[in-house]
Amino acid sequence: MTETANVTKQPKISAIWIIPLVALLVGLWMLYQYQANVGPTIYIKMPHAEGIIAGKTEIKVRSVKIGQIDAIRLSDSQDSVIARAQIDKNYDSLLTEDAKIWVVKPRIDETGISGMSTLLSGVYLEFAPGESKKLKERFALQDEPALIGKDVQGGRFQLLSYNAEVLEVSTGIFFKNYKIGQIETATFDWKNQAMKYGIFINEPYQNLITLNSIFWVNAGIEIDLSADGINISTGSLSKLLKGGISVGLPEQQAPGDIAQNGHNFSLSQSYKEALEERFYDFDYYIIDFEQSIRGLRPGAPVEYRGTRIGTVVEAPANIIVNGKPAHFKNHNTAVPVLIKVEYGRLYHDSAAAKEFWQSSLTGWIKNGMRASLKPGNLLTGAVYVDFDIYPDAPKAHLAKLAQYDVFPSISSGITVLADQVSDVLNKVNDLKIEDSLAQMQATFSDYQSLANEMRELLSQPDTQNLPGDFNRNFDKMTKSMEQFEVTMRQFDKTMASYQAGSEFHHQLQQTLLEFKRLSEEIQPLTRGLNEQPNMFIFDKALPADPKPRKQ
Amino acid sequence: MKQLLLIVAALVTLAGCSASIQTATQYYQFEQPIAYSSRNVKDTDAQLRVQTVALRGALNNLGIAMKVDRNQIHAANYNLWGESPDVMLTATAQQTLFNAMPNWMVIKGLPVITEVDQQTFYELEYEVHHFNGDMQGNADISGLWRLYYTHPETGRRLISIHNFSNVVPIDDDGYDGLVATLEKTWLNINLDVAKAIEQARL
Repeated sequence: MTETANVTKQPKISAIWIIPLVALLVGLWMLYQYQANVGPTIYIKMPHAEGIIAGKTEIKVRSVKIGQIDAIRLSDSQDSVIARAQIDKNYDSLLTEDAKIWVVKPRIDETGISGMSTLLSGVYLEFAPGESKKLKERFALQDEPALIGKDVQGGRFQLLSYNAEVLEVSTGIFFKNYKIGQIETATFDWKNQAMKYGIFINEPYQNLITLNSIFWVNAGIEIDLSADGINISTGSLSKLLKGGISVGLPEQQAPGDIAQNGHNFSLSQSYKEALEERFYDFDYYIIDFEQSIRGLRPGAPVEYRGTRIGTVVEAPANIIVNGKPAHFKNHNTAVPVLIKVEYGRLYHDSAAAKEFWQSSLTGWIKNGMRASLKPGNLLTGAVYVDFDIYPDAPKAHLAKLAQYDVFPSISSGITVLADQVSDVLNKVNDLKIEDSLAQMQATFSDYQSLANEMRELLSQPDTQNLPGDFNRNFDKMTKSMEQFEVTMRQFDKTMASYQAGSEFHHQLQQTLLEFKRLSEEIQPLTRGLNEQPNMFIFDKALPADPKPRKQ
Repeated sequence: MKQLLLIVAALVTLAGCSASIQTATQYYQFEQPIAYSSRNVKDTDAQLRVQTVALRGALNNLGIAMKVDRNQIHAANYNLWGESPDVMLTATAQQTLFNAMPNWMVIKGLPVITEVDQQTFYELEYEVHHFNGDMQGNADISGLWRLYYTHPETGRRLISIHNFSNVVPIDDDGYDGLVATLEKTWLNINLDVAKAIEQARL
């Protein structure tokens, strides 16, 4: 009998390998899932990491968490901190290159108190996405929160300030004391030596900004000292703290066309100056004065019989004729002054005013209209330019100096000044000081006679008896004091009834003694109850007393 | 029938309770008789005020104290003082001193202050640390006393201070014997104090 061997072919790979293979596949799947779920990583450069905690500090957009700081390290140059943050993958589209990041922490400023919730929760980073389509992963932390969110609608304008004080970014823009916007940017144009402010006016108030709007710095407190008296006005508290810019229209003027975005306005130091500086339609004139122009300053008014028509621009005017200053000409000793006639001052329709002025000027000069210097303020010595009709004036006409028209002048100003000084001196003369001195002398003699009468009065017997009256009063006072003493003694007795040895005190002591005795009486009972609490029901079974025995 | 059984059971219980009264409480006091005596201020030279005797801790307990061990004091459960020991000792001291010091106006307890009396006087203060019997058959009264003198010019000042320790064998067994010995000992202490005060008098 032969046996046949049953040969079977074994598979090359054992079935047991299926398990590690499956494990490998699962591991790879998990790795893929993890990688697929991980959002973008961004790096934020910040000057310091105060309050920022890796693994805790969150990045939020409109209070919604979009990521978290997961590592903080010093930059290679060690002058800043680089914070690494993991952003949720759903929000990677927010990481635009013009996005802004700032730290939200408690802040107290003129706009109010904000970020108080971070006192307990710790600071977080607020992320304000921009509008750009380009994304980036490296950001720099802003020092301050973004002033105006991209979703805030409004208009942007430019303010140019040559002489107003420097204002901070975020300073408010006020219309009739109502805040309608704020300064967004503030840069100094060193070439023109002027401040350039970019302002943002919230919707719908940008419609208030019209072409004839005027802007002026509104200090917290304004004191106006004028011939009308002292006028003090204050604004809101925030203005008082940080100042502000006011925008408005000149009085009794209707709003003009609404200004377009980016329109340039000038910023004046005060409302008064703003009113002066708002006339953009004007013509320059030169006036040659054959006299000293001391006291005439740029900005001084140019008036016609008390009505302002223009402003002094330069005194003296820096005009170069043939390479030489116009006021040092050899054949002319006059000093030129540059003025501008502002047509808006003549009539609200400046175009009509300009036409009227220019067409009438020749006739007026022919009739004797001349410019002269007149004293405006005796104390400061300030003078102004006054136009008036002088029928007896020598004939003159409009001349030309460089590109300017030269208006004829008359030297009447200094005479008037002298007259006024003379008037003042005359008034001083009229004060009649001699009479005042005489009156004073009479008053002194009256005082002398009064003193004599007083002396007589004191020497009279009745006056001498006054000490007697005083003594009587003193007796009365002594009696009063005695009565007071009796009262005090009575009070002492009353108080004595509460002192040691008094009846009251004795009774108190007795009561305490009674109380002590009572406590002693119940002493055995309490002690017995302590040892046998059921003593009330069952007979006391306290231990027997030790028996004293004699030796 | 059932009611009868309940009544009988109640009676038996009550009888049982009443039968369990075993020991009666005994009260004790000093025997010292109150003799006739009177004294006027004009017949005396000085005033002595006996302050209430200060007894420490369990000694001022109605239960008569027995020292049963080196450190253990037993306040009796069934043998009690008739009144608070400090009041009793004060009263006895005053009476003893009053009799032993004929030229003194000896008063006790609450200060009887009048505008005249409070000017100049002596004060006696007792601090009793031991006032008990012991298992060796002794009565023990130990402590100290202090004498003060108050004068309007000098104020209150301490004149003398004395410690005393009187451990005296009791005469008879039981609490009667202990109380009698304690009384005798206290009497002797006060007689000694009277002599000492006479000598210490300014």
